Amino acid sequence: SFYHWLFAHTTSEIELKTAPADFRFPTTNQTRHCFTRYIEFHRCLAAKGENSGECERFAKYYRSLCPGEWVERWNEQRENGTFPGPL
Amino acid sequence: ILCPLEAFIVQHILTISVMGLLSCFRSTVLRKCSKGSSGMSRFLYTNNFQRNLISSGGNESYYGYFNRRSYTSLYMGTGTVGGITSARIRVPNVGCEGFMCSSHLSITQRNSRLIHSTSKIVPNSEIQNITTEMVKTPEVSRWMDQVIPTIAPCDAAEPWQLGFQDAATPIMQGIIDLHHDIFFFVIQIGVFVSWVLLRALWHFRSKMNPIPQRIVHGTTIEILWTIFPSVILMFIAIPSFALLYSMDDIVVDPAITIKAIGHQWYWTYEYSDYNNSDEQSLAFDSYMIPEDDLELGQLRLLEVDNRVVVPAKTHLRVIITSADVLHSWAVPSLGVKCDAVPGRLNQISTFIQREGVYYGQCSEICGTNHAFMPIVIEAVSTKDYGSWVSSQVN
Repeated sequence: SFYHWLFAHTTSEIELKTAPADFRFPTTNQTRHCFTRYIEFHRCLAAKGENSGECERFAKYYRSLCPGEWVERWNEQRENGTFPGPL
Repeated sequence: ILCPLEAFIVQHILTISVMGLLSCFRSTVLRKCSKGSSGMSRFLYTNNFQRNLISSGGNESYYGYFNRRSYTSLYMGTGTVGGITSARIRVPNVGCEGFMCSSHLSITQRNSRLIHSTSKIVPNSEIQNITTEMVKTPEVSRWMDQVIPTIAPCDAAEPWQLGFQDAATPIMQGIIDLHHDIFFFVIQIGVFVSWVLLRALWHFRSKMNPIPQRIVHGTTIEILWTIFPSVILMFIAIPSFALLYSMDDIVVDPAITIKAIGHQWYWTYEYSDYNNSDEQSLAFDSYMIPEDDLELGQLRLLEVDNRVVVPAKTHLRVIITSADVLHSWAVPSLGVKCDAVPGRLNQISTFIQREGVYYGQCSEICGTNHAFMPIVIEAVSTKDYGSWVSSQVN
């Protein structure tokens, strides 16, 4: 029907995928899991360059695990050069 | 011999009765018929699917027209095409009444002639007011194949309930089973110890034994009452530890990650699996609906303005943290309770087995309004979840 065609075009593809479980962090506490994923992403950027598409996977991982406020604060610390992690 | 109009009316009434019987059977399977009068308090439950989401960019989006809950009626016979009717009012499966009324609403929408002729079926005048709020939606193929409409039960505690709420996850089912098994042992031990104690009080009372005994030790009974409790504890520990370690199972990769962030005094939820940048975020605050704003049939101290929508039959990861003080994210029907600690991310894995609405509350004292930050999780089908995410992200 017309409506079905109309809504079929407006509905985008949603993929049910998220950061996988990591055996380095098997416990309930996932704080360092989030932190490690963030560091891995920026190490990947430093190694492969900003334009490389290979680092997008790590970005997905840390965005799934880390609260938005944390990421915002870490981004600000990286710009100021005060980020405590080993980038 | 009936005239065509009368035959048409009789056919609809019979169809309604048949669907009512099916509903009663389904209710029995779901153990909802036994709810009795308390179920009627949720009879006129209203759930307007329009909701505001708070985006980081300040834009507000509304739950789309396409994603409204739909009810499907049975085919009315040769030449009659089953239509889709959507209502802002979702009737829970309360015995036979809910199902019949939902069926009645969907039929009257497409056959307005029946509104007056079948009004005797609806004794409650409020039902007729609901009819005017119905909205007809276009036909969607996924609903036409469905013979029985989707009605989601709402899992909340009944008044003065002492036992568990109905389980919606394997973990909660395991908790209930473990409780029943251990309770059997506890009753037996309690009866036995009470018997020994009362017997000692009776047989060694001062009237019968003016001179007290001087027994100070017995090797045999010491050995017995050390070994037997140990064996009993082992039999209790085996299923208990099995369940405890299965709760921590993170071997299965989840399909969705939800972040629950506690604030004073509300919850913030983030779905970040669908972000393409750090700024974009599907995030919203979940405040309790005040008692003055509750609509008829809504639950006091439990309803929120924005619900957590998750797909059923899917492995979920919920990451719980806090922005200010300690909170605890607890939903009894799912068997989850996890502290929200500022600066720490606690993870729980869950697998919701049936679609429905599940209520919880903050379970760590967090200030004046600790009692007013409820949690509402709505488990929907995977397709509905995809539609919901599409309406929020785009």
